Amino acid sequence: MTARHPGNHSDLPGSPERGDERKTCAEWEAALVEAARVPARSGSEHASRVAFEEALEHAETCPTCGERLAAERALSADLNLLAEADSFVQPSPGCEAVLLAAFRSERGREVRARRWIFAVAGTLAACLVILLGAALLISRDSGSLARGVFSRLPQLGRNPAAPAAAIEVLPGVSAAEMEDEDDEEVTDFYAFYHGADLSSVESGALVRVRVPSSELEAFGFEVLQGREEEWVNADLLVAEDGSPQAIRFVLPATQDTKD
Amino acid sequence: MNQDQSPEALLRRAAAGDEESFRALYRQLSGGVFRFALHMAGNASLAEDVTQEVFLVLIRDPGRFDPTRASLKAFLYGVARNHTLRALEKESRFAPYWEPGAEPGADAQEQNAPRIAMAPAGRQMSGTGAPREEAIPDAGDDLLRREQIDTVRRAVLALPPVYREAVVLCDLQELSYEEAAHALDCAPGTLRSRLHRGREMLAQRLRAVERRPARAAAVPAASAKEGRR
Repeated sequence: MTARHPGNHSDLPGSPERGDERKTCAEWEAALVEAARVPARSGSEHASRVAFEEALEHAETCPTCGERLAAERALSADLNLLAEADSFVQPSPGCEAVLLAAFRSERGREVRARRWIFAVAGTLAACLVILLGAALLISRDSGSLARGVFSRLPQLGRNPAAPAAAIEVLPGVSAAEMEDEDDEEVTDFYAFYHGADLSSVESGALVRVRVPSSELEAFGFEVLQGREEEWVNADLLVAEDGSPQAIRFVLPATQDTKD
Repeated sequence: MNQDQSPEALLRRAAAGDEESFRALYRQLSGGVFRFALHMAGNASLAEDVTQEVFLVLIRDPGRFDPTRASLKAFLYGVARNHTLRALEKESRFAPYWEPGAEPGADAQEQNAPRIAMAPAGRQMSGTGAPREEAIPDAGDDLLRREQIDTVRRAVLALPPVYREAVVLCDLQELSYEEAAHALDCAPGTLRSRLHRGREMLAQRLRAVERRPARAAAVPAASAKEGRR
């Protein structure tokens, strides 16, 4: 039915002529099928209502296309008959019952899943709060610890062998300043521990501190009357393990020394 | 309160947990889905399985439906089509579900028994599936009509699946070209072409049946044609 007819039918009365355009019967085929389906359908799917009417018009004048239209209409009627006969066919009530049970089960599962998610989220939030609190406490303790470490420095002088009761660490005193012997005069090192071998302290550090002048007397220096309250610089020799080993005092260079 | 009863609105509410909306949605669309699978497979049991699978998709993953792409109806037919083809391929069950001489029960909705167990016209299936004899209004016409429906049904089932699904969706389920094309995951032009080809094959098969001598002896061709019109 799809073959073009030899005569083309374009010369028949009512043949599909619109302007210079002439359609063959094969070209009318799609429109004829749609035309046959229309009585039972809405007809809104047709690309052009005009083309549809033209096809019907053509089928009235073309015997071949008229037969095709009749055959298509008969087929549509057959299919409509089948569709109507089966229109009441439904799945069994058991199918609905199974699906409703599945629906309830799924909803229940979702609710349980939601509860589980809330529980996990709550636990995680609680853990986070605990961790944050712990971190805060640790940071506070670290501050205390740091403060503790620094507070221990002045206590170095409290060693039984070191009579200095109060030692003030001088921040910002560079090694160069310590070595600047033109402006200052240093004493020998005095070991804090009796019999300590200072030569074994090879890689210690010098820490400059300030001590009251009164502490000089413990090391055999003479402190002038009325100047006991003054502070003098001193260098602590600190071993690798952080333990103070010895102390020397830094005295202002006298004119004689400078010369 | 009048709520939107469109399938899409019902699905939204069902997805939010409203069982009544799901029930309404099922009752609105399950028949079409079931009949599509039935016409495709010719097997009521398989069609019911497909219907269940289709609605289970909505229950388990309602987000799979994208309202911006197509209607829910087209989406469901698409899912049904995939399940049906898979089941047919797996089980190779192409046997027609219809017993010769039987007809879908016009009163099937009144039955509490499985509604797929259809009885010939004038009969009603009892709860146990045994037919109950009732008065037959016009046995001759009824027989002719039943035979005719049976012939068409067999001819549809004999079509290759690619043409069968186009004919079933467009001519039996009356989906629009756009909806059917979406369900079959093809272009509307392709669908139209398949539909025309399918109808052509169907017409050839029906003509071949009409030309059979046995049938011609039982029912004169002229009256058969008249009956079909």
